[in-house]
Amino acid sequence: MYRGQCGAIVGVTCGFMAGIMLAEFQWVTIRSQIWIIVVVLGLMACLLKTSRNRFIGLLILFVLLGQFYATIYHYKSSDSIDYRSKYISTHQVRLQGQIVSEVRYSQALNATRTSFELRVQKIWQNERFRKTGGKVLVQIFKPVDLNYGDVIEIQGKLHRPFEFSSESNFSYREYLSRRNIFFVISVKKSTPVQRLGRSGGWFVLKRTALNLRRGMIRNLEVYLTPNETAMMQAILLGERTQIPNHIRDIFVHTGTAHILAISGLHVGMIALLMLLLLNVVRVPRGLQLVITILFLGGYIVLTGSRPSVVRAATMYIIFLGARLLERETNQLNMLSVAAFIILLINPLNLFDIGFQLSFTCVLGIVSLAPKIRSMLYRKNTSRARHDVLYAGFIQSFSVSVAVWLVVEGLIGYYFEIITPVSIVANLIVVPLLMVVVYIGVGLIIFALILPILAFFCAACLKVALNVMVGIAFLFSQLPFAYFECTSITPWNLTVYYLIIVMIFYFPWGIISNKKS
Amino acid sequence: MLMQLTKNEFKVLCAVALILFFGSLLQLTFKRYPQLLNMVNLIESNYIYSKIDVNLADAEALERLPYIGPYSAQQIVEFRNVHGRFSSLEELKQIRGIRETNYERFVPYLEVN
Repeated sequence: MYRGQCGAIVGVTCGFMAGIMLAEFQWVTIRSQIWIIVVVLGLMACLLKTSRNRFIGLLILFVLLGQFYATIYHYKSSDSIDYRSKYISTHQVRLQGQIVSEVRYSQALNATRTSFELRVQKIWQNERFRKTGGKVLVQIFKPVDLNYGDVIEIQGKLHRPFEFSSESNFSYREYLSRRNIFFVISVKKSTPVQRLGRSGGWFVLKRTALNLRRGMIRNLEVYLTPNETAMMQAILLGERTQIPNHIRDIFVHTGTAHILAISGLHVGMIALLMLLLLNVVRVPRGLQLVITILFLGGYIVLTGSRPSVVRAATMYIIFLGARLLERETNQLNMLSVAAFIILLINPLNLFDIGFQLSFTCVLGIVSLAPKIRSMLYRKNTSRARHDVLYAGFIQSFSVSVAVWLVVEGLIGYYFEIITPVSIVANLIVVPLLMVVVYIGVGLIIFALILPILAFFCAACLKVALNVMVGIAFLFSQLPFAYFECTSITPWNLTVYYLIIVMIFYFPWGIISNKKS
Repeated sequence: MLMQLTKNEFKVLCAVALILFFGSLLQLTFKRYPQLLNMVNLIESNYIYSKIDVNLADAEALERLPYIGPYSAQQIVEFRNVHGRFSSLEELKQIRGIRETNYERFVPYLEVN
């Protein structure tokens, strides 16, 4: 890989993140924020002449911009449904709007429930439709054939999202509020849902991607059992809701739950497979990179644009783009650009568990893994030079330890569990995941173009998938595989990460040299 | 010309050959010995549930399991205190408030030792 300098983009992104965090406290009014930004811009233009001072000025500016952007992003217009709902929450509400998320079907209380996000356009008030804005989560207690981008009219009861558990650090209400959803509308089985039209443009593209995804899932269902299909949906298409609790628990208890969510590992493998196939059909090098970049863009849409997928795909797109333009890349810069893009899409992604896990994980791989590797190499340098297998083991082991160290704090905080077994479990489960991903992609492709070959892929995939789950299960049954911990506070978390930074970045060598 | 393969072509063709070979072999095995398919189907089986002993678990541990709420957990513990140890999981059906549908959902997580 080319290696470039770690640039200002890292600092700017950190500043932007700090600004978003400041916005949570709402300590400055919007008007004051505008004035402060104008003053800082003025100061930068007049006073800051040296490069270092300009960087500091820029950093302050991006902190302020992060705060301003997060405040504006969630600023509700006066006609928002969230304001109107205060007066109508006890009655039935009639709404018109556009579906802006994938339509999901789930089983609840022996009935199929249809749910999706609706961007509200009109509300029925005083015997006529009035213009309104905002988003609501729609739950219809029957299966309804709807699609992304459909304009519909519904009638139901508005209520606040339910809080399922007060003990956990996860709040469903907060999760929805970060998606700008403050109300849920429940539509009875007997109430008709009317489709008024269908949106074009970008919606057509996304609708096509979602229909393609549905088709792929249907194909998987033909060849695999329900639980296997649920796992493959999660691993390849980012749809995790169908995985049964007991299987999810196995992966959570062994610290390997990351394989059930699309991450850099999955995207990297898929991009590599794409490049390999294009290479085989003798596509010119430049075109290979362009097609793979476009494919990754399409993959983001196909998987529902989740933060971890956007992060991973953006990093690979930048990397491939740099190869195309013959420019150098730096992993920290790529990570920062990916973070910046995701935060521009929605600044409150910063508080999303997936975003935090995904970025800390890569940060661990980029910054800690080389340090751990060099520590291990120092002890057995000559062997590491000559033994390829040993070097490979050290490489995988250092990545596993680095990821475990940086992610464990967050996992302990959010999932209330510590998983020492994950260092070893990852070493075995991750290579198996590679086999599963490659055969899974093969199955999806063959099921579309050559179903006869799909049967062979399905048989191999079935075995690989079951072996992977079986091994993870065995690890979860080991004594002291995981501990439950319920009292981790944000302060504990801060101290934990400070200790890690101290261990790996404090100049211990200089101190010991001085003493000697 | 036919024999000139690039490294990547070789890799892809080898992968296809491997999948074809193992896929055919597995298909044949599963057709000849259907019971093997059931053994491989670990994901669909009850073996991979993290089970807890219903005779040893306290209300808190039972409550952590899916489909068992605080009321049902308390009822199970009280039933055990009054009637003694469970000899089979079927006895759980006698407990007040535990319905057949719910029993079917949570029973894979329990065992009697």
